[in-house]
Amino acid sequence: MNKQLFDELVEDAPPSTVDVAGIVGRERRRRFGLRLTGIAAGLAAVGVVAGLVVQNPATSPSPPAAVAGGFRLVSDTDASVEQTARRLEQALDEALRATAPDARWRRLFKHTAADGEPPMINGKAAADVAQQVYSGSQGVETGDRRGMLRFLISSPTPCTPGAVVQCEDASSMAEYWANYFTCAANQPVCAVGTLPDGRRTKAVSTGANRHRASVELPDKRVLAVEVSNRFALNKPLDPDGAPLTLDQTEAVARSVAGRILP
Amino acid sequence: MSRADDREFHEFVEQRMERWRRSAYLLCSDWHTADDLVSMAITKLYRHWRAVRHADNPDAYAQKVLTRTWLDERRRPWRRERAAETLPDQPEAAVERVHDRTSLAALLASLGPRQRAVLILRFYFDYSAEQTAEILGISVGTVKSQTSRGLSALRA
Repeated sequence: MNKQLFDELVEDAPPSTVDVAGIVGRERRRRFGLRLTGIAAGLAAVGVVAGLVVQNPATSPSPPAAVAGGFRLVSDTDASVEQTARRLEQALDEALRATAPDARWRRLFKHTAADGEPPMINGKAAADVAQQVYSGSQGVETGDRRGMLRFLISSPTPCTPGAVVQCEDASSMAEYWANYFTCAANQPVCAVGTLPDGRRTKAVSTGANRHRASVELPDKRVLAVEVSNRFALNKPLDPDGAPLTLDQTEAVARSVAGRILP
Repeated sequence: MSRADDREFHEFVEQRMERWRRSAYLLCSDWHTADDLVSMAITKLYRHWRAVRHADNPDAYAQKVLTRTWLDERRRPWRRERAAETLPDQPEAAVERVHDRTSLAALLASLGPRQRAVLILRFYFDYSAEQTAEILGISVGTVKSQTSRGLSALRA
């Protein structure tokens, strides 16, 4: 037993799945939430005291903005990213409840959102829209089926710094984008469509195990929802398939995208 | 935590990521679980970054967090389960000699989590008995006694 033998044991290491940025983002959000809770508690206390002292309806606070309505993807500062991420979580939660009332959120790992809570969505503050990304994952359970829902907002447009797909020259960008919401020959279960405002959609399925729905956003980014039968990396795949159907996956994506304002 | 702290934390993690992943894999023998363990350890390190940064030996501090995360996880009931297609009809044979990666893997698999951690820390990361005891939160005597089986295998 020597170091070389240990090295041989670990020489076939697969690529890392450790998401350091995601971990840091979650922790920053957790701290931000704790601070907000403290501030809110303080404000509430001040409000109660003030209310007892001065009965003035003109000073009552305005209601929270757009709780059930649309919202914009504001991502210029850490604080605005936090707020946007929470609105996306709420929209995703409501979309799942409306689309699949019997579905339940299930915790994936120790440090992901708890049972019953939607994914913890992390965002990245940036001046360039192409570099503003939101993502999150959470387990979903429907009856006996259990899997994972992944949420992503990103810029697939090539030739843009930070985009998912890169290209060598700008001339292919228009063609790439034009074909982004079309079905390829190797995608037999695929449907494209449009929202009432003209934004394009695409839903693709790989058998019963994996469904992906994409919706064009007003700023040419893409919102994608993917549901698969993989509950966690170290757990076996659910043989019964993904916990949501393709139609349900698309409905969730459309619902969330429909609340994002230009 | 300021942005400068964040940058420093990212650099700290980036420089040690592969070492932590290897360490976690040797502890649990599964790359997916290893990445889970590293993720949990990174979360704890981030929450206590100031303590980590000001520790006398940040590397040992991080190794302590990672190893104890493994031991804590190992105590959970579902971590103690091992999937097998068939039940063994004979007890597993003790590993008598470690001369290749297969026998080393068998030796590690035959040990309890803490004893496995002792061997990895002592023989792979070259920590002293005192440092190993500090990382695992056990006595030096326990480290030495739990090392004896590994040494016996070495001499076989």
